[in-house]
Amino acid sequence: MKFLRLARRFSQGLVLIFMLDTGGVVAGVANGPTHGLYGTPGLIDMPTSENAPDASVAFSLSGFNGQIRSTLTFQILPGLSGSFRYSTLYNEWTGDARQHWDRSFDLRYQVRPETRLMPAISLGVQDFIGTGVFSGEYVVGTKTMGPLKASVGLGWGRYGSHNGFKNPLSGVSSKFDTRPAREVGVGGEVEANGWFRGDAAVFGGLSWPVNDQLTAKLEYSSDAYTHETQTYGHVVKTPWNYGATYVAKSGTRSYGLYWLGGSKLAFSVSVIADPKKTSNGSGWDLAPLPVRRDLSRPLGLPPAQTDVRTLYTVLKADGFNPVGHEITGTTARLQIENLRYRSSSQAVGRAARIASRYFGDEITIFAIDLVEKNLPLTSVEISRESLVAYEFNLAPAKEFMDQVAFRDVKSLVSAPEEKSSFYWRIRPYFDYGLFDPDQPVRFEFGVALESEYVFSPSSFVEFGIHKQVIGNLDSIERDSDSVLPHVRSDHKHYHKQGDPGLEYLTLNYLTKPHATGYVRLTGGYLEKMYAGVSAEYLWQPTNQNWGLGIELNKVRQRDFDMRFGLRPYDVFTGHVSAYYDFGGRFEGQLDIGQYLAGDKGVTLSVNRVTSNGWRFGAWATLTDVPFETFGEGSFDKGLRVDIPLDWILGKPSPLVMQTPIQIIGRDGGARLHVNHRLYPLIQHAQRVDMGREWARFWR
Amino acid sequence: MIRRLIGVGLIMISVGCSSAKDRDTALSETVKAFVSQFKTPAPVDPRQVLTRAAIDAANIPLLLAEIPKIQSAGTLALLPGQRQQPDTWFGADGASFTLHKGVVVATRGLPFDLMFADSVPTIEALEKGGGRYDRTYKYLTGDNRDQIVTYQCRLQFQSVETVTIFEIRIETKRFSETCFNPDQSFTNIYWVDHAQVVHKSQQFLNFSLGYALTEKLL
Repeated sequence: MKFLRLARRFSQGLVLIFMLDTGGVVAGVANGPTHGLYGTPGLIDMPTSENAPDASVAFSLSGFNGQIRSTLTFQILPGLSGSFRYSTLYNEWTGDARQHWDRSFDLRYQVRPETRLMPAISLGVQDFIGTGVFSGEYVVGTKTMGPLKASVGLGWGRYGSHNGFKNPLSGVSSKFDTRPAREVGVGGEVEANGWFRGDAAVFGGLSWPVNDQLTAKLEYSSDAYTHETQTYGHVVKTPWNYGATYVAKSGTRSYGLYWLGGSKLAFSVSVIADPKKTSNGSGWDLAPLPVRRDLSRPLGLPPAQTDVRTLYTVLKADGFNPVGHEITGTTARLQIENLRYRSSSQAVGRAARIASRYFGDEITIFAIDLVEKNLPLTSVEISRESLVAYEFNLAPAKEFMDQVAFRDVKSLVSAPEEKSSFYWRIRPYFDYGLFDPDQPVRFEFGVALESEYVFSPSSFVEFGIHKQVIGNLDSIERDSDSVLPHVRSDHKHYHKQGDPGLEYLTLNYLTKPHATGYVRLTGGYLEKMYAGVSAEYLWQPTNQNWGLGIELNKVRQRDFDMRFGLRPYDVFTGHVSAYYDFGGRFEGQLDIGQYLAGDKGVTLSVNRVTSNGWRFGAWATLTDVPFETFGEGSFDKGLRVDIPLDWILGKPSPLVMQTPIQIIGRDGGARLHVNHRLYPLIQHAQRVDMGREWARFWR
Repeated sequence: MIRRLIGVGLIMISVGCSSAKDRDTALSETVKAFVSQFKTPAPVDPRQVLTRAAIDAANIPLLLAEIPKIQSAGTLALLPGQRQQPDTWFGADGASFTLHKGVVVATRGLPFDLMFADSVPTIEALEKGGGRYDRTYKYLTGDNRDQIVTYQCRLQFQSVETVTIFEIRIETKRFSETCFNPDQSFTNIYWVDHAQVVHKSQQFLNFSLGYALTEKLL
């Protein structure tokens, strides 16, 4: 039975692996480093100084003797990686009931890359937040010698526990002599005062590629497994570990099998995805129409005339909804809604080429306006001359972008043809809950009925109803022990009682009061747990890489049955938000305001962005709720992974798989959910975001 | 296959909790796109079905293009309104080739497109009967960036050859264009008539797709 329980947990991890892997359609990492038992590039249990490719993501599951580690490692920058690990240290096989669930975070930085003579050198801190059961620091060097990779390192903490000696840093200060015990409180805080302190020890090892797929590994471990030996009788007979890693041909998966400490078998499974590579190259998108370039007509032929009917037909066939057009002198403005392409640069590029073919010869400037929910977001003005000049040209994308003007635009050139419209759909949905100690991965599959009635260009009513088909989100046993108002921690009651449940039922109003400003008003049943009113204003000129917004909400908690009733708790919540796009690899958001429990504070979110729509980010919220009052984990924090579907399928799709991973989420620092928040709605059409993938204009 | 279905099936479902730019078409289009991967019809070899009579009856400019490495082949028609070079040819499968006087300058609708290759040095050398020059190719990387690759090339006259394109015999000069850089090399071949028209060619696209073979049908 115990084995079955463990196997079930393992299989839940495999579901996550499948989600990342999708059976080999993701692009893998050929000839990259392999991942060890900690889910980071390494030997077996010991780290190396290798880096995974920039922006790559690896999800690893490893285990031995009752311990299971699941690790998400992200290469934040070419030399900097971060890992989040969720582990269980529990001897299920011998029945020792000392169960322990642990969240841990690592950072590793490559101080210098490998050169012909010198090894690569990296500095790492492992499990630097919270209880620190895996905590250890290291300096490690890795040198390639022919096919062999050799690593030698000096470790502290866990990595200094076998054959430790007096800390060499003691020469700098005597405070390095001893490693203080962590005063963890409720966990979740950065514990830096013990770093590189206490005994140090030497570790190292070799990896040798037997062939392209199989790598043999041997290491000398400096981890004595003190915690495991003391708590559940783990046995380490020798510091030598050995085994092999097998990397599947696609490079997306690897499997490791090791003999650990001369006494235990260990395994690992990893899925690695490199966002910058795709197995479908530039994608299977149909060829765009080329720019019309035959303006110099032979004598006697009349100039080409504007053909609106064909223009609209071709736009529709290419995945656009033509909203309207206007000709002023030699400029043609074309307003379109992009229904097919994730990349706004690509959408504008295709629409501009279609425009060049079906607007008359007298038109010299095309203004392509991207429209979303009847809001014109950005106008991209391109001359016919530069379309002709750059379509087939070696010039870099940036040079062409400099020929193009991005402008703010206030309104539609004409009211939409349909005065009102009604949409509905039934679709499957998937929901999940993570990190419940009773059941770390919970999920729910079900059927959603969604509908939208648009009754004026700016106003619509929408609702969504969810009915669970299969899942275990409704079997949460644990009661909330939160001393704050239970603004989120009663979620189990919503899962238990709210099936079927009204997810949202809202009246929405979206408008642009001026060319650089957006307004959203929402009222009704805003989300699963709250009803009320929400008002938002966003100021975001398209040529500016930062924007400012304010959102004010007055909400009341909903009944657990997710019908129309309300509970007594009501609150005013709202934020002032600043959005900043660094233009290259990063974007950030800062929110300051009052949260659902009435606590005041700030949320900082930072995302690493790739120029094909991947986002990998982290957020943290600090409010005036003391850590002890907040409870386990001290403050709200999480990670997000956004994977664009066109990247996976190799076919155009506007969809992005968004996976937030709420690492710690309780009642402090909790935010309201509301549909159609403005910044996510408009971000893809801002100059800085489009500039990231401007080369795709010509695809 | 099963695993692939499970994996993508999970993604389909989780799409439910993601953002869609449109209201009701994106999911269905994505499902269609995915399903179509499994029911792609067996490729038809145009060489087996095409005849000179059919080509003449079409009475429009036609180009036969083949990419042996991915077993792709099709007849492409010249898009109307293209009296200025380069000219773009479309196939029924939604791919296009853009040629400048017979030299491939771009492809679209292929999974690894050639965004642009400069054709002028090759055309000038064909006119002169040979030469040495640099050629530059531009690609789009998986993360939507320009990738520029430059080669040193040499064009040489090889022989006089009579080529037969669907029953029509054409006297041509065969030229080979060998290009290399420190990492890689390839060889293009052009069959050119006395009026500098490229009737047949083997031209490099990239290392994923290999070569494109073209024949000017009409």
